[in-house]
Amino acid sequence: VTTHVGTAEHDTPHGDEAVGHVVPLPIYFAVFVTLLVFTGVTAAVAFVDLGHLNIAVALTIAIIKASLVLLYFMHLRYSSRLTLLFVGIAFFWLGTMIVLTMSDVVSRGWFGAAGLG
Amino acid sequence: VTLLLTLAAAPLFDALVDGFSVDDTATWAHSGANVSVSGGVVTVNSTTNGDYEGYVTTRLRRIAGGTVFTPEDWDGADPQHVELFYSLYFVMTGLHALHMVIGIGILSVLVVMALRGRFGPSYFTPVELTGLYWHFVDIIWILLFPLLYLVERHS
Repeated sequence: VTTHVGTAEHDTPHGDEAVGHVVPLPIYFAVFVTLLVFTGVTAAVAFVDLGHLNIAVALTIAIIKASLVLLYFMHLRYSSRLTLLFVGIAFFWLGTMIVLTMSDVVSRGWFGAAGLG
Repeated sequence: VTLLLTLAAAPLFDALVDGFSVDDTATWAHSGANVSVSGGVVTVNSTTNGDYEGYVTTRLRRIAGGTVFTPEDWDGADPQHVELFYSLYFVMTGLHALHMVIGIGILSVLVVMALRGRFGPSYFTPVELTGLYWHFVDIIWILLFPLLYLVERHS
């Protein structure tokens, strides 16, 4: 049983007022399969000794996967620039916390504590 | 409903992987160790003799059951490092599990609403918002999984 909805016949692929952007199912499945492949790759690479590069490779793959989720599953690719700006601000804020924390971790032991020589 | 299934498709795999942390907690509860939680900090104590290494190694082998995720060589690790790792491990996976339980609840409500025909081209905001929430949880795990399970795997 199909119920006719008034706005439906006016919908175009870019009819943002009513439906927003409807992402075709094949794109969702393609992204899903890509995510699975990347998961397999990151798990496989983890067993190869690359020294300090291991963590870099793992995080690079993770960031690519997160970007795919953001762009397609969370519709960022089809969103307004304002939305993009706010997402950017959020990640910038997250970045400040990580950078400041890591600056502490990395610089531990560079200077002696007062009274300890 | 198809849309809901699509939304759930990607995190479903993550949910399966998440089974590890659920198993962890279950195994933990039956392994004779004390886990005390205070102020968001998980403290680990062995009931026997403070033998963190032996305890953790045994427990890890029990959890992983010989799967690909079994750490080959946890013996000889600094007990304090092991404790620090598991403090972070349980807080992170635990918080993630809490988010997932909440998400499963929201998704269940959404499925019922969808089956009752509440959504259409003119009204679908709950579906959209739930999708955003679920994929936010998804992204957390995408980052946590390599950091918790894949670090130092080659050594």
